[in-house]
Amino acid sequence: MQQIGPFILNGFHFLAGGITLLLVMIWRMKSAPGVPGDLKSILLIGSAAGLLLFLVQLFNSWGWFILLRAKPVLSPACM
Amino acid sequence: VIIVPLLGMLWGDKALVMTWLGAFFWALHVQFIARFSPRVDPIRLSLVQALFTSLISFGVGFFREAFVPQQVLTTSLPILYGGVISIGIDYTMQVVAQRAAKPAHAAIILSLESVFAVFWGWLLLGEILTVRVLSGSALMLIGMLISQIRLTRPLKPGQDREADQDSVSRRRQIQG
Repeated sequence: MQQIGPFILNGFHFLAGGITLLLVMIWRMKSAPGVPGDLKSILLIGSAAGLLLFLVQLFNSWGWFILLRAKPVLSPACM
Repeated sequence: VIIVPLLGMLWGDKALVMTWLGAFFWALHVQFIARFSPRVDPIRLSLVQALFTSLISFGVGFFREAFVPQQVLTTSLPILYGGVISIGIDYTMQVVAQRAAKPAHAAIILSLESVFAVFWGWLLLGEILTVRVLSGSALMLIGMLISQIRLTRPLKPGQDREADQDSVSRRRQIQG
């Protein structure tokens, strides 16, 4: 059976989370427009935080896969 | 989190080295969020963070892994659940909470993730709690409580702990 790799799975997880937050943000802008924030700062800080989060996921997932002596892929049943 | 992987490094266990690296970057992330989250809107920060992590993951994944759209469709519900609950709510709550909470306190609470996972797995999914699982959860809880016990002299009535510590360190600096 074909399996989803951990990186693609991670990508979809964060994409789903991002879309959820985008919907929340659109809803917030409609209900309370004018949320403060400098776009450049948000992009810079958000990207750096995202990179750190990716590194956390990278080492944790791969570390545990090696520890469990399992293949570095996730089957749907594992989820 | 720190000692076990370090021991593993001494024994040459690659998995524990990677776990330690994961813990290191996690600690960096907690500190980073504590420093920068008060400056920007938490929802926007979480949104950019999630999309950027997704982008890098897809970038690496498309080079290293086989992409099977059918499997993604089959597992869309668990992916959606994990994405909305874990990424959408969990990481946003972290950003919001760390605007006020101290990074050390936030890290201790966040390290209880596996304990909460066991609890919700038991409550929602009816998972069986073995002695091993319960022992692990109890040890983590005890570790968290021990880390919060302050081995300092008792405060006098009306004395502030932070102010007391600040005054001690300032006094040491002057004496030194």
